[in-house]
Amino acid sequence: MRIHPWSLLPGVLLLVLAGCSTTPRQGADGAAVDGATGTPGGGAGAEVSTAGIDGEDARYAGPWEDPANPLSKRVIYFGYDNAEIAPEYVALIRTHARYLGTHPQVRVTLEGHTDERGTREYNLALSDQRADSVRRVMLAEGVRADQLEVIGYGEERPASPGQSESSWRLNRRVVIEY
Amino acid sequence: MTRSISSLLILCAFLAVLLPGTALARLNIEITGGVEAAQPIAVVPFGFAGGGSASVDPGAVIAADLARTGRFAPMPTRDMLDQPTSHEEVDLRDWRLLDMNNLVIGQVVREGARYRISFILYDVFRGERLAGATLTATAAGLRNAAHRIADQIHETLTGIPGVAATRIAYISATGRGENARVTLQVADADGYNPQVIVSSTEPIMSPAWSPDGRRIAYVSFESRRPAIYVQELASGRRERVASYPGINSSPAFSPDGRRLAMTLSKDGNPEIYVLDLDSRALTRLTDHFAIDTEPAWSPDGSHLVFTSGRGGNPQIYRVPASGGAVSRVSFEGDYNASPVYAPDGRSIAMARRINGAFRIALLDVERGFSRLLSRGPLDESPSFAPNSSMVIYATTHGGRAVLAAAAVDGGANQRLTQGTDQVREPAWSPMVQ
Amino acid sequence: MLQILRRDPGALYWSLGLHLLFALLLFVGVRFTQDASNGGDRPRVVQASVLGDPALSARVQEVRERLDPEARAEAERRAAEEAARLEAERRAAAEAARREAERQAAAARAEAERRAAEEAARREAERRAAEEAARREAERQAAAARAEAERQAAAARAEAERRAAEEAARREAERRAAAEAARREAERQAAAARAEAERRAAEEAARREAERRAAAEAARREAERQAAAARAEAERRAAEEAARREAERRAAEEAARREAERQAAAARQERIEREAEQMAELERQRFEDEIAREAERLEAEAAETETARRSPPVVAGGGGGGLSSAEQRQVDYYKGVIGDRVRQHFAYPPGMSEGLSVEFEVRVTSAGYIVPGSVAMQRSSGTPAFDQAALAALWRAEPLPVPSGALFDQFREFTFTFRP
Repeated sequence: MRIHPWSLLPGVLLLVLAGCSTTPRQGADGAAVDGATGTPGGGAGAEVSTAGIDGEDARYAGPWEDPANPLSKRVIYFGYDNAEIAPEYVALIRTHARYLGTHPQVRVTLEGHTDERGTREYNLALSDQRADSVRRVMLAEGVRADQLEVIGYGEERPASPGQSESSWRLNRRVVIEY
Repeated sequence: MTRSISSLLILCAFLAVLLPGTALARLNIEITGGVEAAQPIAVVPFGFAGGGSASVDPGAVIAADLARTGRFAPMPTRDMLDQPTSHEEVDLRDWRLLDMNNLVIGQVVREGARYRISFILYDVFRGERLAGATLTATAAGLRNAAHRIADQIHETLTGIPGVAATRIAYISATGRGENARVTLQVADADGYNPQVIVSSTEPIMSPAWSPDGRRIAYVSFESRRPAIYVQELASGRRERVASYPGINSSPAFSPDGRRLAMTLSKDGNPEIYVLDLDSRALTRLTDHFAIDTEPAWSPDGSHLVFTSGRGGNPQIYRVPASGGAVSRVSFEGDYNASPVYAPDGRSIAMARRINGAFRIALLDVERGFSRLLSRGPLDESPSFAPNSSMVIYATTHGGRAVLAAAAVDGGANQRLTQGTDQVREPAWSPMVQ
Repeated sequence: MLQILRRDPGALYWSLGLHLLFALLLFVGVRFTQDASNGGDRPRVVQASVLGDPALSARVQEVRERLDPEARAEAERRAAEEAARLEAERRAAAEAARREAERQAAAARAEAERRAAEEAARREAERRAAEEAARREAERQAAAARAEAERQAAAARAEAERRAAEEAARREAERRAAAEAARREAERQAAAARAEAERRAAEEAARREAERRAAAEAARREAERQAAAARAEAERRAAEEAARREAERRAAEEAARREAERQAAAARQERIEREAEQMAELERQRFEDEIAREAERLEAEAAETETARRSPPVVAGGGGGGLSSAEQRQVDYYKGVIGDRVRQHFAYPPGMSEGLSVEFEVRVTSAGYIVPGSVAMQRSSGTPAFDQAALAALWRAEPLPVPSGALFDQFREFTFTFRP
């Protein structure tokens, strides 16, 4: 066994990603040409990070942020390699569906995730199916399609980094993001 | 010593022929059932002339390249009795005493900003010069020159093109949460000389080389949704080729480089599509309510293999490139995914779950049996070297994501690491022109 | 049973017929068995034997009277009277017996009739009961079938309704989806058209800008190129001059070196030739010695053969053809040992040697060493690394375990074929 040292990263290039906002599941802009980005020495700018001033940006907390409110429960967990919603989560989804039904201006993103087992691309597809399962239940409960957006993240964003079932269980999930 | 003198017995051979009654029966002996073993080769540190010193010893790079193939066992330099750097200094009898089959010598001559690198490859037992050449390079190109020499030596001795001068693309990740940074990098096949070609705070996935090695397709979540980009390596220019509703993933260039297979869920469910890069025409290849993803082209472009959950669990299936009947390919194990064809078309590598562990399996396409190349427990993303002799894949070691390479014939198995980064999704480039 | 009956009404008649047959057989059978076991139970038969006694005494009297003519008339009268009385008695008895028999017959008939009637009644009752049961069962089944049919009909109706509902829902969904898709498609096309227009405009602008830049760049590059060309030309000339001088210097050095080498080589060659001559002389002497020894051995053997004519002659130059079986065994043994020794050293490169083979011809000395110039590759595998591995195995196997003495003649020349 021979270990080959990889030299340290060269200067990190940051990309400026122009025109990034697409309207998912609705706007189908098939292809677009980006400018030359990521050229060595041609990195045209840096990532912008903003910071709010303390106390100034207080905003209304939605009911989903109130721990006492049933809407605060926003995660649906799934079985391994499975996109079916377990019966115990139907009530949770209905709760959100009722709220969305009475608040048609509110939009949510359904973020699907998987654990790290299995291949990344298959997991991406699986996470998409999980989020879509939740979406279909919500549509059946009367939520309007334009209130719902679905994103599959696959195994790219684990909630818990461990490599055991206790972590994996927490990672197989769909999060309802308001 | 007797042997060095006995090398003069050549005339005796003539005598033996001339003397009547001595040349008698000729015995035929057939030798079979030897063992497979790395072949002993001596790569002498290269000489250097022209002032200053070379930052790189091409000899050391060549030796490491040859060792990595699993077919050669370079001699440690400390065991060398002599270190010749020119043909005049070579006495092959010394190397025969050291049991070397082959000898490589060479030198680097600095000429201004450029270097001339020359080498000679010898067959020790037959006393022949098998190959030799001179290359020129800049200081930055010295390693590449050494890789090319290693490839020439490999091809001369084995008849198989070497892959030391090829490259590897992979995803590297550091930090978590707010500090997470994901990069797509391209490095030499030995892990040196890494260059970042895309960097993002959002996930990047699935790098795939074009057949000419000039472009890389990948999936980026930079718009907070997965989209497929094709980027030109030399200029950094790129194009977003797929950004449909739902997932856009698993890009794979066709062998002619004109089409891109991919997975889209725009019609409600992950299915395999082929995008014509010239006309932008999109053709749907699969239609099933289960997941269909991870397409990979056969080397002749006639069909694709892909992962599908249609049988209840993920398995490998194939479909004609123009669409049509789908047939199952993998039958062992309850989870087979991310198939990839060997460039010679003789085998398909895939990630397989066995007793709960994910390992890289190699399926012999013609004979239908398969064997395991890796030990798990979380191995995935296999990618073939362009000469079909090795598979690089993602694995874990000490809790970290690293890359590993395994010889297809079961020889060498090595690990490639990079600092403290999590490294994954390797993609081996085609042959470099 | 009932099902059988229902399925085949004839079976009922068969069954009844069989029952009757058995009943009949039962009566007949009783008579048989009772006759065979004990006749005392049947008074009618006893009476028949009683009736026989007066007849016998009457016949005795008759014989007696026939023998006595005197008394014959009296006897005849008496006999007539007696006969009349007897006749009367007999008649009365016969009448009584007849009546009794009639009575008993009537009783038996009555009894039989009663039993038959009872049996018939019982059978009738059973038949009716069976019929009743069959009827009830049939009714029950009919009812069940009716119920099942109703249930199925209801289910089918429900299924049909459900399907219809689903179909309607699906159609509605499809219609909505189609409408939605159409709307989206329209939106998408509009957006695409907008985007396309924007993109074209942007591209046009970009193209113009690029062209402008390219023109500027080209001008700059051209200027640079010319400057560079001038520089390069100057450098090239200087370099050429330097190269020429260097080449001259090198040529001179090279010539000197070559001359030195030539002289060294000549000296070495001379030395080698000298050594070779010496070696050759030694070897020649050795060969001659060996031949002499061999000749002696052959003579000795020939002498032996003379005495024992049956053993086959040993032919030295027979190419193995003239070997005795014992010698052939020896040859085979040494072939195996030599093959094993070479095989131990045969390590070929992994993963590329399938189907390869290479062939070498070699000669060896009596000590088992390879004669250096004698190795000839007859057929290459086409893969140098494989050929080298085979050749290396030969050299590393030195000294080969060849036999000594006369048998060595069989081991001077070899053809080795190597396969994975």
